[in-house]
Amino acid sequence: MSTATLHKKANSQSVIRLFFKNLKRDKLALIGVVLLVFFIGVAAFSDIIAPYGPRDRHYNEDGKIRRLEAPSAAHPFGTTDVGRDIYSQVVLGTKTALTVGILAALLVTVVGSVVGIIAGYYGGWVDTVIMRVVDFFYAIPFIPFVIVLSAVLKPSIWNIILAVSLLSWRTVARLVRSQVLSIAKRPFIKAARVAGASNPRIMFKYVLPNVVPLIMLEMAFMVNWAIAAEASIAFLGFGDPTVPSWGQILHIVFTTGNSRVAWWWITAPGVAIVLLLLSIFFVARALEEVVDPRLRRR
Amino acid sequence: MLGYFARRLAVMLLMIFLVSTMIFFLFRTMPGDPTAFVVDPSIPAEARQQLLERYGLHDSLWVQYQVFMKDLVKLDFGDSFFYNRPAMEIIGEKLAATLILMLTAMVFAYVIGIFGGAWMAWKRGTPLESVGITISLIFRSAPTFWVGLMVILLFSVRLGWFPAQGMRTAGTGGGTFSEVFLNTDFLKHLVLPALVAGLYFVATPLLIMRNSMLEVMSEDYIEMARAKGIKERIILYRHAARNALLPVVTAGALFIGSAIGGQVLIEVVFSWPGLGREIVTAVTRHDYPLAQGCFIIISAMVMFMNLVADMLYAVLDPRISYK
Amino acid sequence: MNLMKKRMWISLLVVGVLLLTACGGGGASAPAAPTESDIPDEEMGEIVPSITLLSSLPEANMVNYEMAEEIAEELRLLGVDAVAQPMDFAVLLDVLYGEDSDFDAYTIGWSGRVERLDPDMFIHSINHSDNAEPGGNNTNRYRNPAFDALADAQRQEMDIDARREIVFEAQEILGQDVPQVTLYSRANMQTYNKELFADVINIPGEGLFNEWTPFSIRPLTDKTVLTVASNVNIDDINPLSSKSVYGWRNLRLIYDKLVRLSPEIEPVPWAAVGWDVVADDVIDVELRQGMTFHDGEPVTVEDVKFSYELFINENVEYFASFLTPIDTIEIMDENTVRFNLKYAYAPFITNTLAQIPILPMHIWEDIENPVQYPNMEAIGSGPFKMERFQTGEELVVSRFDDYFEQPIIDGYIFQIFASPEGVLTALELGTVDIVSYDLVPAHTEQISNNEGGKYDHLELTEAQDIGFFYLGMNLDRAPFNNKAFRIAVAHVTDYDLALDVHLNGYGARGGGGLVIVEANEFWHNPDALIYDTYDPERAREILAEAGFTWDSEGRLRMPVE
Repeated sequence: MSTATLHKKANSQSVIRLFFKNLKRDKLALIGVVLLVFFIGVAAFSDIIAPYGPRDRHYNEDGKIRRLEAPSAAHPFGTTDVGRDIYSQVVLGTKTALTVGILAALLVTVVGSVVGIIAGYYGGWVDTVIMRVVDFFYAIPFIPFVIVLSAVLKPSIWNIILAVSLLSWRTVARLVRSQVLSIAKRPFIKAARVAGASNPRIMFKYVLPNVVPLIMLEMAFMVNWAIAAEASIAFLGFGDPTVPSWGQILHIVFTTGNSRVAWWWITAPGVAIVLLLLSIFFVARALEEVVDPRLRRR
Repeated sequence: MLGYFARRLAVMLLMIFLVSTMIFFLFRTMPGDPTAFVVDPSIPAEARQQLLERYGLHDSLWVQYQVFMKDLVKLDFGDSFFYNRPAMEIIGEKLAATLILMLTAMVFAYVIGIFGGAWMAWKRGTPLESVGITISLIFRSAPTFWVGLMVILLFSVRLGWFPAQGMRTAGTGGGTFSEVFLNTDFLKHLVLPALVAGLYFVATPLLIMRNSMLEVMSEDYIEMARAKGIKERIILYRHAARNALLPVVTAGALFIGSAIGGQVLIEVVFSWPGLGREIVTAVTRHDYPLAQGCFIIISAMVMFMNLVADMLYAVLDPRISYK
Repeated sequence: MNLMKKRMWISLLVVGVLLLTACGGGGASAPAAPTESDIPDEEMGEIVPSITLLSSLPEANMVNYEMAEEIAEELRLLGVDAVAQPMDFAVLLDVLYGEDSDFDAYTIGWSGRVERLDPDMFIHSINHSDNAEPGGNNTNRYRNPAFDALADAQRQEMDIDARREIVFEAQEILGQDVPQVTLYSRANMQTYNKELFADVINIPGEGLFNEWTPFSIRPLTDKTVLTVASNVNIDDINPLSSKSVYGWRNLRLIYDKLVRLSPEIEPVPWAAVGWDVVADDVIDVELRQGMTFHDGEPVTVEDVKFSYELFINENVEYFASFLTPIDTIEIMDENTVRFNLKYAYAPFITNTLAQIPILPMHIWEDIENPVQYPNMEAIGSGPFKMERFQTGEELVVSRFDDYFEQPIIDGYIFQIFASPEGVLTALELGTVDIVSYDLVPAHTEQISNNEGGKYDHLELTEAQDIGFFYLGMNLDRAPFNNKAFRIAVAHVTDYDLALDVHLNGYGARGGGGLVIVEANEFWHNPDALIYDTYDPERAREILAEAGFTWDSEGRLRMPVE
C-alpha cells in the first residue's frame, strides 16, 4: 500500500484513538473486538473454565464408556470416540491457538520490523543483501517446509512457532522496508540527521513511530496466519500430540474415521477456528482503515 | 528491461542452488531411518545395510552432496526410494494435476473477486457490503481441510452430486494428457476441490479490488463522469474497474506461487493426486530424492511467479521502469 | 495520564496475562499414593530409574499411543517416574534398531503376515539371544539359554507334531519370564459389496484381498471387473524392488509361485506339481507342464532356477531371510529343480517356495540393472496380466485366459485412496466393491450400525489377526532387568481398556509374554498365558514380595542388593 498520504504525526497513540473511534461506527469491528476479548478471556482462564482434563475418559452410570455422545448438559460439545469431553478440549485448545498466534506474531513482527527498518533506512548494499535474504525465504514453500522442520526437530508446539516464524518475517520485512524507504526521504528525518542524531536514534525515535500502525496491522494478520498454520500442521499429523489444539482435535476425528457421524466433534473446533480468525480479521480491517486513510468513510 | 530480466533470472538460479543446498542438509539431519518405510523391520540387519548402500546413504555427506548437485544440474533428482523410479517422472505426473486444480481455483476466485470487489466498493457502507466482506472472510478463516470435509459430506455423501475422491473414476484409464484431463469425468472430480480452494482464495482479490476501487473512485475523472450523468454501472465497470485492476493482477501472480505449495490440505482431503500430497507422504516416508525434488520444483515455481509478478507490474504500470 | 495511555496499558496487561498463562501450566503432576514403610529411606534400595515409554504418533497407531500414555500413568501411580513420548515411526525404529540401543520401553507391533503363521518368526527371531544385539529383532534384549535351546530345536525339527511340542514349551517359558507385555491384537474387519459379488474367502492376517479371493469371487451382475479399495499406496511393480505389502499382494497374482499357501495356510503345489524332501537339506521340486508367460513364451525349469538365483544375486532385501538357507540350485531334468540347502530349514516350503515369484528369463536376463528396472509392462505367468499401473492412483489387471486355474472375474482394479474416509464414501456410493485393508474401528461400527440402511449392500467380514501389538521393555536396563517388575507391569496393563474402549471390541486381549496368539490355532499354547489380568493391587503385592519398597515420598525403590 502506498504511504504517501500518511500523516507525519501518525503514531501508535493516535492510531489507537482513531481505532476506538471507528469502533462506534463499524459494527463488524465491534463484533471482532468483543469476540477477540472473549477468546482471550477463555484462553487466559482455560484451566479454570475447562471442567475436565483433555484425556479424561467419562463413563455413564452403568460404567459404560460415554462413546460418541451428542452434546448434553454434562458435555456441552459432546464426547469423543473414547469418551473424552470435547468442550474441555476446545477450551484448552483456545490457549494453544492464541499462544501460537501471539508468540509467532510477536517474533515475526519484531524480527521483520527490525530487518525492514534497517534495510529501508540504510539502503545501498545493506538493503540489497537483506532483500536477497528475504527473496530466499520467499522462495521456500510454506507448509512443506514447516513439515520438514517439525520432522527434523521434535513435534512440539514451540518448534511449530519457530517454523512458522522462520518463514513469515519476510512479509513484514518487505512491507516495513518499503514504507521506511518513503519515510526516510521526509524532511524531518533529514533535519534530525543535520541536528546530529545517531542512526539508531533516528531509526527508533523518528522512523519507528511512523511504521508502528503498519506493524500492528501486519501483526494482526500474522496472528491469523500462525493460528491457521498450526491448525493445518496439526491436522496433517505433524503437530504436538501432547498439547490439546483445535487442529489436533480435527486430526483425531479424521484419523479415527468419525467425521461423518460425530457432527459435534467436527463442528466445535472448526467453528472456534473460524470465529477466532474472523474476529481478528475484523479488528485488522478496522486497523487498516486507520492506517490507510483512503479507506476511511467519507 | 531485458537486462533486468536476465539479472533476475541469474539471481533465481542462485536462489535455487541455495534452497537445494538447504533442503539437502535439512533432510540429512532428519532423525529416523529411511529404510523403515520401505522394508519390514523384521529383515536382517545386513539387508538393511545393503539397502542404505543402494540408496547411496553410506557415502560421506559431502560425496552425497556432490552427487546430488551434479544430478541437479541435469534436472535429475535421483530415483525415488519408494517408487523405484526417477523422482522427476513422478513429479511431472503430479505437477499437472496440482497446476490444473490451482489454476481453476484461481480463475474462479478472480472472477468472483474482481466483480464482487468492484460491486462492494460501489455499495460502500451498505449492509450488503458487510455481508459480502464477512462471507469472504469466513471462507478465509475456515481451514480448507474443514470446509473440504463439510463439502464432501454435503455434496458427495448427502446429495451425491459430485465425486469426493481422486481425479477420475477408477478404471477410466489412459495416460496421455487429453485422456486424463480433457473429459467430463475429470471435470466432475475437479468441481469440489476447486470450489473449496477458490472460496479460500476469494478474499484476496475481493478485498484488494475493493480497496483499489475506493482509491480510484475518489479520483477526479470519476467524479466528472458522475457529473456528466453517465450510468452508474458503466462508470463502475468501464472507468473505475479498469484502473483498479492493476494491484489485483500483480497480487495474483504472487498468489499463484504460494498457492502451489500451500494447498497441501485440499489435496489430502480430496485424495487429489497432486504434488502437495506427494511431498507430505515423501517426507513421512523419508523418501529424500522425491521430497527434495518436490520441494525444489515448488520453490522454483514460486520464484518464477514472483518474477512474473514484477514483470507484469512493469508492463501494466507505465510509471515503473526498470533500468 | 490521558485515556489513551490507560487503554494502552490495559491492552499490554492483557497480552502479558496471556503470555504468562501460555507459558505456565502444562506440567503434569505425578500423583503417587504413598505406601507406609517402617524402613528409613536411606536404607532402601536405589530409586527406580525414570522410564521413557516410546510410542508411535496417534496417526500411525492410535491404540499404541493411547496405551503408552495409560501405562505411563499407571506406573506413575506405582511411584515410578514414567513418561510417554510419541515419535515418528521411522524415528522409533531407528532408536530400537540403532547402534546405541538407548531406550527403556516402547509400544509397537508385529503385523500378522501369512508367513508368520510359522512360529519361527515369533519364537526365534524376536526372542533368541542371537538376535539381542543392536540391529537384531530381539529388541527386548531377552536372553535365556533354556529358551534359546528350544528356539533352535524347533527350527530343525521337520516333524510337525514334535515341533509343536517344542513351540508349546517355548511359549510357557515366555509366559513366565514376560520379556514383553502383549497389549492386544486386532481383528481384520473388512467388507465387500454382497449385492454385486459373492464367494469371497477370508484369511486371518490377510483379510479379503488375499491370494484366493480373486480366484473364487463370483460376479452377481454384469459388473465382472472387481474394484478393490486400498488406503495404502503401492510402490512399484518390479518384484526385485517392491517392498510394500500391497505391492506384493498384487505381484503374486501377476507372477506365479511354485507353492501357494491354502486358505487353511497349508502349502499346496501350484506352479509345481509337487516336492520331494530328499534329505533334510535337499528338496526337489517338479514343475507343472504347459504353463506360459503372458507373452506366450513357455515357463521352464530354467526360468525357475534363473528367478531364484536372480533374487539371491541381487540381494533382494525383502526376501533375504528366506533365501539365505539356499546353497545351490540344480536342474535335474526338464521338469525338476533341486534346492541344496546350507542347513535344514523347516520353513523352506511354506516360506521360501511360497514367496519367490517366477520371472521370465528371456526378459530379465538382458536387463542390465534389474533392481532399477521400472517393469511398467510386467510380464509374469500368474492368473492375471498387467494392464496399467498409474502411480498413486490405480493398478489394473485382466484375467490371463491361458492360465491353468481360471478366475471367474474378468479382472480387477486396485484403486488407491488417500484416506480411509475416502474409501468409506466410495463404499457408500457403491463405486468400490471390496476393501483390502482393515477398516478403522469407527468405520466398522458405522457399517454394522447401518443407519438409514445406507450400507445395506455391504457384508462385514471378520478374521482374527495373528499379529500383535505389545509393550516392549529393555531387559538390559533397570528396572526391566527385574522379572518381578515386568510381571508387575503386566498387572498394571489394562487389557480390557485396549480392547473394549480403544478397539471397540474388534480384536483380542493380550497378556504377559504372549507371542503366538489364539488366532494361530495350531501353534498357540492355551496354557502358556499366566499374567493377563489388570490388577494394580496385585502389582503392588508382587513388587513388595520381590523386595521393592516405597520411600517417604512414595517413590518406588529397587530391592536392596
